[in-house]
Amino acid sequence: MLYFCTALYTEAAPVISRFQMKPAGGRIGSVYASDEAILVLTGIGPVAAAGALSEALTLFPPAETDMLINIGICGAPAGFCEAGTWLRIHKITDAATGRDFYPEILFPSVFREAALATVSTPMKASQEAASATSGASVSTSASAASTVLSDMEASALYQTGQAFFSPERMLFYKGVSDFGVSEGTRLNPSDVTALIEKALPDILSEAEGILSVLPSDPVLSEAAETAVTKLCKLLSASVTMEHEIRLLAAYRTFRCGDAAEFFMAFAAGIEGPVVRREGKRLLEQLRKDCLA
Amino acid sequence: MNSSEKTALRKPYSRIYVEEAAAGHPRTAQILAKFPESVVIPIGDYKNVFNRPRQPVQLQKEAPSLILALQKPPYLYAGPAVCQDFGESHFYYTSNVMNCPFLCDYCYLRGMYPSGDIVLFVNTEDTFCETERILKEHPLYLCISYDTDLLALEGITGFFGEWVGFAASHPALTIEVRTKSSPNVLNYPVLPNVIYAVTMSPEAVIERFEHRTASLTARLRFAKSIIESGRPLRLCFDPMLWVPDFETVYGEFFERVFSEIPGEAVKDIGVGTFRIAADYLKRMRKNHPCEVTAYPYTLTDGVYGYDAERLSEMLSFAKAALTKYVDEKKLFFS
Ligand code: SF4
Repeated sequence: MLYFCTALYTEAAPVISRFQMKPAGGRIGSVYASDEAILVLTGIGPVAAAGALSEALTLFPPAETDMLINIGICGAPAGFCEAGTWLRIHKITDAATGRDFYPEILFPSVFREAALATVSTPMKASQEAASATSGASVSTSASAASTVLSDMEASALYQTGQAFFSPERMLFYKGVSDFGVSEGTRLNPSDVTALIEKALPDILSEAEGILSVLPSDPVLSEAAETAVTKLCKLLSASVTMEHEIRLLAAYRTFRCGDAAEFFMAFAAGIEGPVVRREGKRLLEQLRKDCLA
Repeated sequence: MNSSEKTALRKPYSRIYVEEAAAGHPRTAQILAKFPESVVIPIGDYKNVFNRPRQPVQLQKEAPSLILALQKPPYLYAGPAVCQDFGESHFYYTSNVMNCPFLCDYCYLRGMYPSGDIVLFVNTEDTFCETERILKEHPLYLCISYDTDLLALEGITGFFGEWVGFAASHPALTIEVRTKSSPNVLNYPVLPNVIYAVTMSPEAVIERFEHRTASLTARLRFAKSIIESGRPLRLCFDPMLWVPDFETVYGEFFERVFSEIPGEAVKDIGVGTFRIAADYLKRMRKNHPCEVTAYPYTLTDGVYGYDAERLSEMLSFAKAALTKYVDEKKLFFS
C-alpha cells in the first residue's frame, strides 16, 4: 500500500484521480482511500502535517512493507533551477530545531537530488532555509546536492512517519513552484495540478520499482508453515519449543530448499498429539535429523 | 513496470555523506576525488546517518554509501576476551573504518551496526598520536583491520599504507592486518612488525557464505607472495563453519593450503569455530536470515556456538589435521 501526503488539494487531485480514491474520514486532515493507496491531505504547515498523518496512520495502520510518499511544491534559491523542476529529497532539515533527517535513496532516481529545509512560515522561507543549513555546504561536491529547497511539511512528515516506515520507504518529491522572492514567479492552482500530473508517472514507477525489490517474502513457504503448525500441535510445543521448530525449519529451508516435505514426513511418523515430555524428545530427534 | 522486472540498486559509493567537521580535511578531498560522479551530502554528525532507526542494512551492504567523518577518542581499545591475542600481552585494536565491503553471512557486524554504510574516519593522525602516547608506556600489539577489511578498502582510503609508514618508524609497535582480499602489497616495505593475517576457508564455504571476498586460489596466491617476499604471514582458519561432510571438506582444504604454503614459513595460525554474542545473533536472525544464522546454536555464557560435542569434533579434527603440517606450538585455538 502506498501512503501519499500532500498539503493542498491542488497537489492531491491527480493522485486521487489516478487511484480513484474516495473520501475516508479524517478530522485533522482529510483522508482518501482506495484498495491500492491512501492519500492524506494534511493542510499547510508542520503541525497540520504531523497531526493529519498521525490520524491517518491510526485510521489505516500501515504494514512494514508499505511506503510513504510526500509529493508537493517547494521554494528554491533563485537561479537554482527553472520553475516546474522536480527533485528527490535526500536530506530534510527541520528549521525550527535544526535537526536533520535522511530519507534513504537505495535506487537510482530519474530526479535530480536536493536537500530541503522545512520552515514554519512561507514569508521567511528562503531566510530560514538558509540559516537552518548555514555552514553545511561542501565545496568538493560534484553535484548541486547541497542546495537547499524549502517547504512547510516534510520534516514533520518524516518525524511522524519514521515510527512506521523505514528510511528507504519514505520518499519525498518536490516540484519547484517559486523562488521565495517575487509573487510573480508563483504558480497558480491549475499550474500546480499540472505540475503534479507531469511528475506522477515517474514517481509511481520509482515507487513500484522499489517495492519490487525491497524484501518482504517470508522465509518459510506456506506449505512449510502448515507443516510447522501441525508439528507444534503434535509435539504439544511450548513457545520456546515452537521457536526452535521454526528455526530448524528455516535452517532446513536455507540448506536444502523447502522444508515442507521433510517436516511433513517427520510429522507423519507421530501418532496423535503427544505429552510435552515426549514432544521434547521428538524435538531433539528432529534437531539431529535436520543437522545430519 | 513488469512485476518480474527488478529495479537495480544504486552503485556502491554513489552517495557520500560528509561530516561538516571532516569537510576541510585533506583526506576527504582525496577520497571525494575518486568518486567524481557521486552525490555528496553534507551532514552534521555521522551518527545522524549511520544510526538512523530501521535501516535496510542488507540492501545498504549490497550498495553502501560512504560516510566521511572525524573519529573521536578513544582511538584504541583493549582487545576483547573472545579474540585471540596470540600470546601478546598488550593487545589492542583500532579501526579507522566502520563496516566492511564484503558480505560474509556470519559477520558479527550485521548484528552490531544499525547500518550497512561504511564510515571512514579521515583523521588517522589522531590515532597515530594516541598510539605514540601508549607506546611511551609499553610496546603494543595492534589489530588495525578490526570491524572491517582494511586492505579491501585500501584503493579508496590509503589507510593501510599510512599504518605501514607509521610502523616503520615505531619498532615497538606490531600491527596485524587481517583480510579476505588478495591485494598487491609488494610496494610496501618489508617489516617484521607488520603481520599479514589471511583468513582461509574452503572454496565451498567462500562461495556459499563469504560473498564478494577473494577466492581461495587468490588468497593462497596472496599468502604465497607474503611469504616469498619475507613478510610475516599468519593464517586464520577462523571461523570454521560446520558443513555437511565437514571432515572431507576441511581435510581436503587443509591439504590444499599446505601444498602451496610451507607450514614452517608461517608465523602462526589462528583456529576457531563460529561463535557470536547472543544479542548480535538475535539481530542477525531478524535482519539476515540465512543458513548460518538459522543454525540452532547452543548458548553458553551469552555466546552462541556449536554444541559441545560438535565443537570438540571440529576442533579435534582441525588440530589433528593441522599438526601434520605445522608445529603445534604455532597453533592458537579460540
Ligand atoms: S571480511 Fe570480516 S569484517 Fe568483512 S564481512 Fe567478512 S567477516 Fe565481516
